[in-house]
Amino acid sequence: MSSVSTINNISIDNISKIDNVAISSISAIDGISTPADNQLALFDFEDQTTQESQNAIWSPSNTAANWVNGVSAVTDAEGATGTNWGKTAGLQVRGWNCGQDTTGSSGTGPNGGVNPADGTHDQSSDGDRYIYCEATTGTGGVGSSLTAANRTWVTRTRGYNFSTTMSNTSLNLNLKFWLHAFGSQIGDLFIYIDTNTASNHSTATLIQSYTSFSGFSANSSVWQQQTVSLNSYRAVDATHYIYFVYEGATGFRADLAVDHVELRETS
Amino acid sequence: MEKVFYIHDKCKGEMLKGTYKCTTKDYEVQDNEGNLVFTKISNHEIPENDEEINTTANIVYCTSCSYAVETDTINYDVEITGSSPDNNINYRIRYIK
Repeated sequence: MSSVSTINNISIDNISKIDNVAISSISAIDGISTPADNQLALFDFEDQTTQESQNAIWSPSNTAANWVNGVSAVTDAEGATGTNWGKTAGLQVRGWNCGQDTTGSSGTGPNGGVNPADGTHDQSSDGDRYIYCEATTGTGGVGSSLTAANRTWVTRTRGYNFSTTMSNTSLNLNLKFWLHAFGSQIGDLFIYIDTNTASNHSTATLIQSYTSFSGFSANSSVWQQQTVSLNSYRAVDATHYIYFVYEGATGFRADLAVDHVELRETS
Repeated sequence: MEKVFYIHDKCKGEMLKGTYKCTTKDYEVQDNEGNLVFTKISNHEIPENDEEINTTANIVYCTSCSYAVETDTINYDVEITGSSPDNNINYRIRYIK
């Protein structure tokens, strides 16, 4: 039997509650099933300690305690100076930072964390934080000071065995996150997946590339939600880690940011 | 004549026009006379010959809290308009997110 798609011509995707009951808690209406839409994980970074210096990186904690950020997430791919992810030769790895409101440099970065209702910027105490790639020349806490053109930024999520985490592995499994990519020297974002707790370009599987952006003309440009299918991994009985890898920035106006990272299963 | 006032929606402080500058030492918020109002990040340790040093941006900054936003990105969703009793001055009060 097909499921409920609209109520009074309103898409069920846009309905959060019926009679004050969350739509996600309603399995059927008049015997007709509602679409499955389960959030398996959410990271909004609001309980993280901000770190906005170019000479240090974000230290995942609390709800993101099992994320790994920076060189600890990477198996050196080149044996060259520093630690290298290996997609582009010679680039040295540093970790992502955690920001609040604006980033330090002018002409780049968001004005606040994402409001996931509409992509606008949130500067309230429970919505203003996000992770980002600090592109100002610096050490990232390891080695010598380098410009953005010599960097790859790497961070990864905690591990998930989707085959046991999902309520039903026949449902669609998606990674969803909000992206902000304003800056005249912005680079490219790559999403990888791997079963290794530390990885590199040769070992991990590249599942999504973002090499051009539109709609980011100012700090205040709204965040844009991205969706990456993980269906190829939903029935695999193994723990997977998702890597966020950024490189190709040409200068300091390249603070790419990510917020409200979710794993969702939907029908 | 028109006068525009900016209010920081978060704390209701008045926001004034100024300049955001990356100096050799700090990221500074300066008023329109070039005077330091507050630093956003102190002792940033950016190399003195880096391309970011001495870059500037036009901003409005909050006089109540340490928040500044670039003026080419001002985003307001509430604007209150009015005029002086003699109708010689039109006021616009914009609330900045």
